[in-house]
Amino acid sequence: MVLAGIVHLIHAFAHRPDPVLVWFFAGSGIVQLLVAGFVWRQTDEAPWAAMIVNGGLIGLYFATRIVSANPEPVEAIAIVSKSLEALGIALAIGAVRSTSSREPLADAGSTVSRRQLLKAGSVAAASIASGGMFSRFAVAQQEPQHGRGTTHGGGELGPHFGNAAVGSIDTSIFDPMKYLREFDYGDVSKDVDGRTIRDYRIIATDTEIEVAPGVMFPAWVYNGKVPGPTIRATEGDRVRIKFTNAGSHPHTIHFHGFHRAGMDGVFEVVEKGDSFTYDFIAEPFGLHHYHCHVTPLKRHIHKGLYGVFIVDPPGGRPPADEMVMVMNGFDTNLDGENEVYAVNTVAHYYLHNPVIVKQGQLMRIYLVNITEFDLLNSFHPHATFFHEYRTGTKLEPDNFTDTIILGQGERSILELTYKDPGDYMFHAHVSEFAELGWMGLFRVEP
Amino acid sequence: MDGSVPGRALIETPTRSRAPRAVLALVPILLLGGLILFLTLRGPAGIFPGDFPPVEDLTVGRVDVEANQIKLVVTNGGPAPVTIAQVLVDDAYWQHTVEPSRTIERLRNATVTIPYPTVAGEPVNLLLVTSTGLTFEHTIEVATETPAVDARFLWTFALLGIYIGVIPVALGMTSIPFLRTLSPRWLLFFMAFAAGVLVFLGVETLAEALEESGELPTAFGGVGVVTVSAIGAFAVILAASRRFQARTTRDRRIAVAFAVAGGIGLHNLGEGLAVGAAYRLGEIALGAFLVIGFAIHNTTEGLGIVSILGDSKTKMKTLVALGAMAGAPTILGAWGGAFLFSPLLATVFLGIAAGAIAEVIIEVMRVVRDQAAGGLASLESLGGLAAGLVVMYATGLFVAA
Repeated sequence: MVLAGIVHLIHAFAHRPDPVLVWFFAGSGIVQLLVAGFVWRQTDEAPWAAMIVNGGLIGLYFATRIVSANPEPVEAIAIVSKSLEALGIALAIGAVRSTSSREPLADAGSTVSRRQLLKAGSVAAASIASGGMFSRFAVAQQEPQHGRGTTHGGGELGPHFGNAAVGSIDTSIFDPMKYLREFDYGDVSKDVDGRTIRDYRIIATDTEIEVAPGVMFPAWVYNGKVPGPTIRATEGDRVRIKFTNAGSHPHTIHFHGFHRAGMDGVFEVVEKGDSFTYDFIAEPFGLHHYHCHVTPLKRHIHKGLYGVFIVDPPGGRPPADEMVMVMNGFDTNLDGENEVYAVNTVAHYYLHNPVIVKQGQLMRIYLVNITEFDLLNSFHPHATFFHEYRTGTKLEPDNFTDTIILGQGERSILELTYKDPGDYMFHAHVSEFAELGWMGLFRVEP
Repeated sequence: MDGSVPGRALIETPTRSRAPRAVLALVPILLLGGLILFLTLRGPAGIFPGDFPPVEDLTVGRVDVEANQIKLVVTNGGPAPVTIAQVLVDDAYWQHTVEPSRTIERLRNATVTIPYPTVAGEPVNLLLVTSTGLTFEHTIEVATETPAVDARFLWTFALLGIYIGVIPVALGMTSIPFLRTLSPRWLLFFMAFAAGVLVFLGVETLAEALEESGELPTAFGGVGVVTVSAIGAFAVILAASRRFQARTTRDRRIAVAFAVAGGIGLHNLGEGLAVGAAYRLGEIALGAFLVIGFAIHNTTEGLGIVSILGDSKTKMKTLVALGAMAGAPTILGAWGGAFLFSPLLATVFLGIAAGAIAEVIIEVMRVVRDQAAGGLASLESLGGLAAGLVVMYATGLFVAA
């Protein structure tokens, strides 16, 4: 019984934020200790009081749990205190039984008299009543404050829109909005033939990235971010990339484009701490990408070592609002399936932070699919159609549609315009990917 | 060293005051506390490098389903705090709230409320994603609206308890006139039959307790809960029966009958818990078939109780008490299972039931051993035991649950 009292007092401590519960548990704990004191002194009404108090507290516990609309989850500590109380009851019964079968002691007058029973009963009743009063308050406190069952899953996006990752990421480390329209043209210089040389610096490191609000992923990155920097050159330029491996595993950079064998980034593995300079001519014009090509291949790509490589045609393309969208995914629990799908790494980011575009303006999306584990990915903007330039290697479009699929490693340049202002969704038409984070909004402003 | 007075203790322990002994008892505890303090503050002196991701364990306990809301109680049974970052419902990230906080400390709970349009009768697959990217799955087999506590449901489950608990036991007890016509050897056979019934129930309850304990968070030590409850109940009932010194054989028989009724009552409490919880989760249909099955199965239990009484005259009052003791807990169990279901409570109750039944088996077999001509290995003893087991198994086949 002492133990049960101590447990209750400890429990009171644990519930400190809620004053009512604290009083209830502290009160019942103190009462139990007092009655335990009586039992220690072996007065005769004590076992009865013990039985009644403990029985009452157990009954109260069950009653409040059944009746209260929003009961607290059953905690182990409650089980412990209830079992100790039950034990107390059993021992009290045993004590009463043994005294009644024993010869009455001459001095104590130990048979329980009605008066003693009344005394014990009133003490016990008072403690139960006070406990009951407090627990009634405790139950009232627990009435659900928030509305029950908002239809179809409410949230910041409205009552019928529950499908979204909750919260927001720390954009000081990686800002998907900044990445969207950022191009790295490198350090420009000219060589003796008048050919433009562009120098870039890429460093591979290990870091943790946030792929959904609150969900961290241990990534391998180029220049601190996933995807890596968008390298942009004009066809015919000489591209020089000094690659340093500051990560914990060997890496390379394998480019998609024309280049000679030694610059392929496959057999020339760059060990930890080493460097390698990739040097080739940017060709053909179009939209390409680069990624690590060390085995195991799935792991090195999937952990974040990829980025976009744009080669502009010599005459350039018509002016447009240009954006880079990399369709990627993350397997956070390492079971061979992606738990997070996104465009530009963060699940549902552009859903919470819509991409602002102007009404009537030509938009050019450089769309790359680097999603691991799934055969294909898709892109579908609402309320408009686009011209698709597959791999961007022609100046004439291949397709005029509103939904395309891309295999892993495939990429297309899409050109589209929005005629009217408003919010328009864009997402993978593979609904599973859309629900798992690959969904965004275009906010068209007049 | 006083050897002069025979029968007296050779070593006299002088009485000391209590204080030094209490202090001595506290010394190892204080030292242990000091070590723990040292380790938590200073770390284990660099023995274990702390680069490994923490082991996480989340268990979903109670689930409440409504037409437009799912509520989960999640317990952290692992060694480190866990932060729930996102929730996936059927492979879709969904809006949700976590009370009181997204980070759950060790052994604490949190309630996850998800406003979601559930389709009645279809399963829901939930995935909790933590801040380290680990996922914890929970499947709601059949989305059914959790019954609200009102008079109708209380009455439904009371009725259920009466149909599968009280009535069958009472029916079993109507075999008393038949038992009274039997010879002493046959009576002992039926007593052993009762023990066989109890053995069947005891093993079944223990198995259910262990199965239920598997649903508990790891830190609670599921099997440990079962062990403590079972052995605890065993010990308490053993102590209680020791204290009750019966004077006549008849009194002893009645006492054992009450013990058997108590054991069966506890088992039925567990049975009621299981049925109530299954109904709550939509995994069971309270059809006539179920009730019939239980009626057949539990009638045997009633027979078991009265077999103990043998040919002694028993008052109707006593018989009613026995029946109530064995059957009524089903009602309490059904209420408990339907309305405040928690795997921890269920495990504890099932463990207690298993332990109580074990003790009662010993009581019954003791009577058989004392009164049978061949003791425990006699034909009536072993035959009755076997018959009890077989009949319980056979009638159990009728139970659709």
